[in-house]
Amino acid sequence: MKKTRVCELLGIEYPIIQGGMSLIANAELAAAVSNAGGLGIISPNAGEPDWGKVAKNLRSQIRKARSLTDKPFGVNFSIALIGEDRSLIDIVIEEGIRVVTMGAGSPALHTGYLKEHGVRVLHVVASVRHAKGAERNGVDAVIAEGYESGGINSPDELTTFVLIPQVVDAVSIPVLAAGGICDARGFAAALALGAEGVQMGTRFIATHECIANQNYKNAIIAASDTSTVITGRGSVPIRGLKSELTKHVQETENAGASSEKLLTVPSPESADAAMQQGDTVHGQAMCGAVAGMIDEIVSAGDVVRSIVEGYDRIVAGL
Amino acid sequence: MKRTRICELLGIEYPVIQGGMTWIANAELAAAVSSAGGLGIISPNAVMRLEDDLVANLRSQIRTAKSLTDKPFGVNLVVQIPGIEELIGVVIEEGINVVTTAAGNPAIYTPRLKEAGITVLHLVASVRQARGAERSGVDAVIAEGFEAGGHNGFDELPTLVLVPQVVDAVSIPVVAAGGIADARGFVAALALGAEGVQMGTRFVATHECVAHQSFKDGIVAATDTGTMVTGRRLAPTRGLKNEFLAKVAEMDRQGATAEELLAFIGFAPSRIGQLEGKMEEGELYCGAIAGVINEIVSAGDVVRSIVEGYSRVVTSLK
Repeated sequence: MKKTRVCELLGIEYPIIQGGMSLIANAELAAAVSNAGGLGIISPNAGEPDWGKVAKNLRSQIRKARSLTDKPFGVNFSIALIGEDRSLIDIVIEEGIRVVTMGAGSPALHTGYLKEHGVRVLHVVASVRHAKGAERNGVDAVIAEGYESGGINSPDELTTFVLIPQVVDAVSIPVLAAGGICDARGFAAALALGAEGVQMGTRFIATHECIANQNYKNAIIAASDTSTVITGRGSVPIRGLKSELTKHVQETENAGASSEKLLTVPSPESADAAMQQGDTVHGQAMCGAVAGMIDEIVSAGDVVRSIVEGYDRIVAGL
Repeated sequence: MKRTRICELLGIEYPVIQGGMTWIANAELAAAVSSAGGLGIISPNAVMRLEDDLVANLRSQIRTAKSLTDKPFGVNLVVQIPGIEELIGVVIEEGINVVTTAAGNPAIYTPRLKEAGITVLHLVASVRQARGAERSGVDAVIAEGFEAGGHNGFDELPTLVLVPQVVDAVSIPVVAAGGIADARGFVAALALGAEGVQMGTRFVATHECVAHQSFKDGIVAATDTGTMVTGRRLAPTRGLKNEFLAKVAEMDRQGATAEELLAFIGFAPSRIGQLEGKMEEGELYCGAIAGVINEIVSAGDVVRSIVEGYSRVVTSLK
């Protein structure tokens, strides 16, 4: 497989990053991805829905991952969640983490601080304007995430297919593609569009190492092309598996609910209910539009290896 | 450039198809695309006024294109359009070899077209529609993603996730549409398993297209966030953001009925927008890829730049 600038930047063999999914991007998953030559990412609240206990949890997740791999791995922060508080960031620095992915907020807030401490910063963007802003703030690379992606989404609704080439044209730092990618075909397509790596979330949820609830993994496996939906347009757009919950949210939206009302539906607990407790009917099972192509729960290392093996075959066929 | 089954099927050199855009897919454009080795497509209502005769217009467009090229070109037929029987009659009488069909059940007219020796490509936006089209005997499907301009599927599946799932579901060739305007998008589509592409918006911004200069300039000026989808509950449609779409979006938010929306939208706004250049009161169908289109060129140059860029992009993947 081709080496890109992302491999050099992150000190990894293959430019494949595992998304730092809230609640379920755990140490075992991150270590497995890193051991296979990609970059695993830990979410501070992995396995811990109580945000009050997140600091202790983050340190313990990092140490567990370190016990499982000698390879680099990273940590993901939602700026919307941490705000200006640097206590979690300081833990990452103390623990010697070299890569942080960030999103859902201004890259001006923490990028300089992280860089001063020798941490590589990758910022998630969903438009050309965001990408240019991230580059101006000194991030090392951007993760351009399209409308296909699971979880919280941008109101601009730019799909990966159109977002990537425009971001590539707009910045000179490396661009990773995210949203709608789960196999070697998507990986090759992303590189054809100019990306130098990919980030995948949903594909890595349906792995043995991910702590997501088995019901949630099974629901991803069972999903077809039309199984996900965006709710929360006009407040916080979220892509997830269709369920009683998303139906209720859509009905609330169609009844012309205010943005304030929509922000309370779904509740913050509903993601935990689906993703950790396994109630995919009434909980918010965040999931990318690519779920219909995921048909088997495999090991995270096999996800990486199947892309590496498939890539050369696809490129040779072009 | 790689030859695919689409080249054999359509008797063309490069698997690049020009979309049959309503009002503006005119004979001169179709002939230019076909002369360059792709497949041009005529829309029956190209250039015409609301009061003109659709059947006579189609015949005249076909004859003009014939006078301009010896290469094959096709006609796009909207299955649900009133008078389609007569349009099919003209297509058969005039010896057209390729028809693309859309917006309706492919089982209704495919047998008649096939009996007349016509190759049929049907537009689909989900796996279910693709399977249905294959069962109806079409020769290929055009899998059109959420990125596409004009009328869109309710399921909102972007090209990146739609194309591989359709490829896995059918054995006939798949053409990718939606979000493609250059060699990068072309190679990405082939990496996903497509055997060709259809492009609409890219071909609108050409010298040969009859679209109004202001509309072409609007496409060239568009940025990544320049388009939006409206009419999600009734008939999702993507176009350039303007006053007209802002009104439709407001009607959507207010919960307007289907009748109210139809009465407001109708057929006239897309005609005055695209043919007469009424940039605020008209409707301007436009794909999400408009932001990468920065110049009005000749239609032949669009085809040639993809052919030339193809090898460069593929080489960069190795």
